[in-house]
Amino acid sequence: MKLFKISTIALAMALTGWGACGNDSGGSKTDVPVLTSTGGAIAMDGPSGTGGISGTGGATTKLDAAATPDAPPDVPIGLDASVTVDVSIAIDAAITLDGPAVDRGLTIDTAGGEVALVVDPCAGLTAAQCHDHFINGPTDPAVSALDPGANPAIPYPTCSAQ
Amino acid sequence: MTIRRAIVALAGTAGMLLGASTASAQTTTVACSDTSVLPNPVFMGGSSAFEPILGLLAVQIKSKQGVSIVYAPIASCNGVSAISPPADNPVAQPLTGTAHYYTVDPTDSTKVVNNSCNLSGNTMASVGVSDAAFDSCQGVAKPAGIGEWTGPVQSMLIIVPEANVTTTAISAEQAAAIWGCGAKSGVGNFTNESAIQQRSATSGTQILVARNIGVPETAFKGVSNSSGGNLVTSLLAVADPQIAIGFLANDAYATRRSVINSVAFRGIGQKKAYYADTDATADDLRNVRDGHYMIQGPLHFFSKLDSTNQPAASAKLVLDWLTGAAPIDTADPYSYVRIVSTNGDVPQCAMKVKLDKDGGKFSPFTPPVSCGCAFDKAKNVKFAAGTCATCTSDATCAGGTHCQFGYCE
Repeated sequence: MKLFKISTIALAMALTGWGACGNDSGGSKTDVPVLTSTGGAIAMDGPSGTGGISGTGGATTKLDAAATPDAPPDVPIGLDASVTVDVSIAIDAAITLDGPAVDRGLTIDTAGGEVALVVDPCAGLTAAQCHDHFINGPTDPAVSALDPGANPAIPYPTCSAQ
Repeated sequence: MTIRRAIVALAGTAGMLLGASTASAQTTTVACSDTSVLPNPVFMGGSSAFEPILGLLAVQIKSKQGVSIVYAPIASCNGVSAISPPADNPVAQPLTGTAHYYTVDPTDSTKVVNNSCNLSGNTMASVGVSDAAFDSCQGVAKPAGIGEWTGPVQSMLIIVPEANVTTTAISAEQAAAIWGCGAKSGVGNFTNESAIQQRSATSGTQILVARNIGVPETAFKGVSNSSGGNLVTSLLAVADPQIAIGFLANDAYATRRSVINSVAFRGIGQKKAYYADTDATADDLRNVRDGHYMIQGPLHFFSKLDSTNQPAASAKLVLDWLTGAAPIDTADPYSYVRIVSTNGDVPQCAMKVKLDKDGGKFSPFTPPVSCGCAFDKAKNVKFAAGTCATCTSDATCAGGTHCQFGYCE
């Protein structure tokens, strides 16, 4: 059997973006999931809040975890993917991650013989939802987020008519 | 020493420019067409907000490529009109009066001097520069025959005098009341229209503010100012600093932090107000890069296209240099990122979001060649744990990342 090669380093590096999911859901920078690859198997897990993906090896490894739309932050992220030989991993179902505190849109890129997970935080979102994800999305606690207070009594363009 | 000799001598020091800034000192006025002073000139016109960074890049272009940038800071939409006249005034609009060219400050090699030159009556711009998009200026889509390139991302800041330490955040609604209602705004102390500062309807800075607060740029209340620098002068001239307010491009703010404060902005639909930077004192443009700071947009460069849809050769060279598509200094390709980053803008390669239009919606942006680590390095921002591994080539980078300016990205 031809074993596929997965660069665990590549995966771990690529998951930096997903580590941010851990941040989003209350985790910390250290919550980056850990990936391992053994003989065609790929397993990935992480602390609560960062989700988990696991699979067992074989020529056609199936990574199968229930999609969890509208998942609260601590519910594992779902991913449905198949793994084939020759370092090709094809996602065979749309990733439907949802929930206000969870980044979305994992895709797997095998270019160059390495496996990389790519995060598209707006996968499955409308343009308005995507926009909101950025302007209201979580930030590092170091970022100042201020409250400007109540709106004025005479807003534009009401004042123009007075 | 003749002017020409001075320029040659100064050009040799251009490579010393790091986090340089521009000075506004004037020297002898020459003809902009004098190729003994300005060889291989490329005439440009438009945004005054971009001039601080343009001056720095222009010095390097002159030194490394032998091309002279001659720039008229006539405001963004006038820069658009110089390339593509509007429908209501469909005649060619040459650059007139004086323009600027740039040399290294002989007293401080980290700075650039804006020199004036006299334009002849028929000088046409090869490149127009605007903070705002074509349709924001002219109300219609860009016509065929006009090319558009986007460059570094600017952010426009709400500002108050440094003495005002109580106004730290403002909402889009409050800003709309201040600039849309003026004396009737009812917003704090900002009800005196002689203390409220604006630019003009042709200013890209004003257009980007307008698109983010829902007030037409033509309806702004307050004192008009012809440039960002003039706006700051007017702002600081208000006797009571607690009632003065204005807006300014971040690259102009970068050199004025000691006299004015930026105000965190809460955009329409946003839950909190954010500075362009992490906080009031940081200088990292973090919230611009990730979309939390909403008053932003890329610079737009315009040029006429020929029958093969290409700009003039000289314009193409300049466009490639100003957008970062080609290195100005092939021996130091990082210099573009360094100059843009340390002087208040964000090169597109460091952005994580993009806008669909001025004041529009954000969506994810992955640059073809990322420079986020190089950007942080230039601004002395501490790298997040596990990111920005150093490298010498792609082979030393894992995870499909590439070695860019010494970091795996």
